Amino acid sequence: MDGYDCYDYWDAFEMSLLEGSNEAGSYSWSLNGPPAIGYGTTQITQYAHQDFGTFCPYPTGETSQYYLLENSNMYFGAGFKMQLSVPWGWVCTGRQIHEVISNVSASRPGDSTPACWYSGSPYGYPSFGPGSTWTVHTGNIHGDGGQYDADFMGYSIGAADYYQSLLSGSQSCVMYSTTQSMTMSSCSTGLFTAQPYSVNANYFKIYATYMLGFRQGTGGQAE
Amino acid sequence: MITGDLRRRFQMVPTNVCIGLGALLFVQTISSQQPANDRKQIIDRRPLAAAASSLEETRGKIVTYEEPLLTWMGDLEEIPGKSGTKGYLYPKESGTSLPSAVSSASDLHSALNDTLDACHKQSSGTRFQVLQSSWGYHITPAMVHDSNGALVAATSLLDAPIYVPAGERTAKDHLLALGAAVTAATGMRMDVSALPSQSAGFDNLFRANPARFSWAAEREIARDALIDLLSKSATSFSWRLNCQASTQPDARFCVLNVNPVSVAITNANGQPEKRALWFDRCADCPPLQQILPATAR
Repeated sequence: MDGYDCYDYWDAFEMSLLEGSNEAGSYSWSLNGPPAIGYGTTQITQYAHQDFGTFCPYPTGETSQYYLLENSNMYFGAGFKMQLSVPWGWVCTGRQIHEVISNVSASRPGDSTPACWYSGSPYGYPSFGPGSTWTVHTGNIHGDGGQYDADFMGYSIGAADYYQSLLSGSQSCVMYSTTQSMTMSSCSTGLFTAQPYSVNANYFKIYATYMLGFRQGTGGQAE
Repeated sequence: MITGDLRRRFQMVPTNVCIGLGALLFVQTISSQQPANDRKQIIDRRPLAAAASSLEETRGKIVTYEEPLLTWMGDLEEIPGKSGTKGYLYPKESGTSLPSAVSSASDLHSALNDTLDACHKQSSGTRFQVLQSSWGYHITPAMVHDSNGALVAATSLLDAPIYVPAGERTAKDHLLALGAAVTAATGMRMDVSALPSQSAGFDNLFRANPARFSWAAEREIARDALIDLLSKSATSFSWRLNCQASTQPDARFCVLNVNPVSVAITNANGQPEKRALWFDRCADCPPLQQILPATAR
């Protein structure tokens, strides 16, 4: 883990560190990028974070855990909660996380499984709206708040049932695949950083007798 | 409770029943002004739905599409592996063409008539017409082959008068209630598919405040009611009403696909790209750049 990845040098002192002054004295940076602070990530404790009130850490990634099946609201979904990857002791509780969905496809790159959607289907090509926003909870976890908080990989029941009715035996099809870019809000401004901390390959697959949602390679039952 | 307002706001004007002689002459006049190669060809099982999407993308105006349920085998065929156990059948591929130059709203109107005419010339199947409302343009069925192959007057499921009791629901639940009301009124199942990948996708783009609000449709034409509901949204939605034919009458159904309008843009790399218009009708939304990261802009 590179400490710089979790260091927002604008937030740190509520001003640019490229030049200027603060309580610690004058400073100037001739190179682009964050200041060359020498510390080991394990040296930065929660106590230090709160005491200094300056560091604004960003995660370097996250891991997904399946924990919820959604079969209501006319939707089959596999719900996931996420554990942020941050150095021990760093706390992101209360920060906002936003997803941006891109590369929406009715097939999955590198997967020979056929697409569920086809020209002639009465259902439209898979589409997505703006991404969701979550709040980080205790333990640097988000999406763990149940039906209205989990990150779902799923599809509307009518369309999913339709495509499932065209399968038999061990057949399966890919409903969609996406790229999901996760970003976290700044400590001071609440705005999201442009740099995603995690870029995830997600997809939803329909089998003849069940359906699975996949987030970061972790699968869970949606029906 | 919304009947009077809607009737004033949404006066449907059939602008081209495509088998009408006058309309054909009008369209032929326009077509003759276009070089033969100055058109975009579309071959599809639903060429007019594809044309509606193409015109929406290039004009940024709402063009909806509604089709009737096909029952004549001459219009239908199987797709290998896509009939399942329910005997599903699909429209045969046919073609149409789009005029390349569309530069104003009136041109869009003419372009739609022109496109319908081109479609009808290339197929002996369903005849469509263009209606106009405050929401946009609507391609709707006018004539369709009955099960014996005779052309008869056609209606869309959205022509049915419906009753949706007043109630406080989310936007998505109102839309589902409208679908249930159409099913009840017509006896033909109409599924609703609105941003089906996301459970709350439609509600998010609709951006109702409060999230649950009161709405009803009392003896309203379903299309009028749909427009009335969507007019409360922060996002311009368009729809495609597609119907699934089958050898088994009880397996037949239609799907109302509701999605935000997409437009054709050139991205930062100079590549053509489609971009959905989100929150384009929102009066109080913060600028997207304040709530979304740069990668989403």
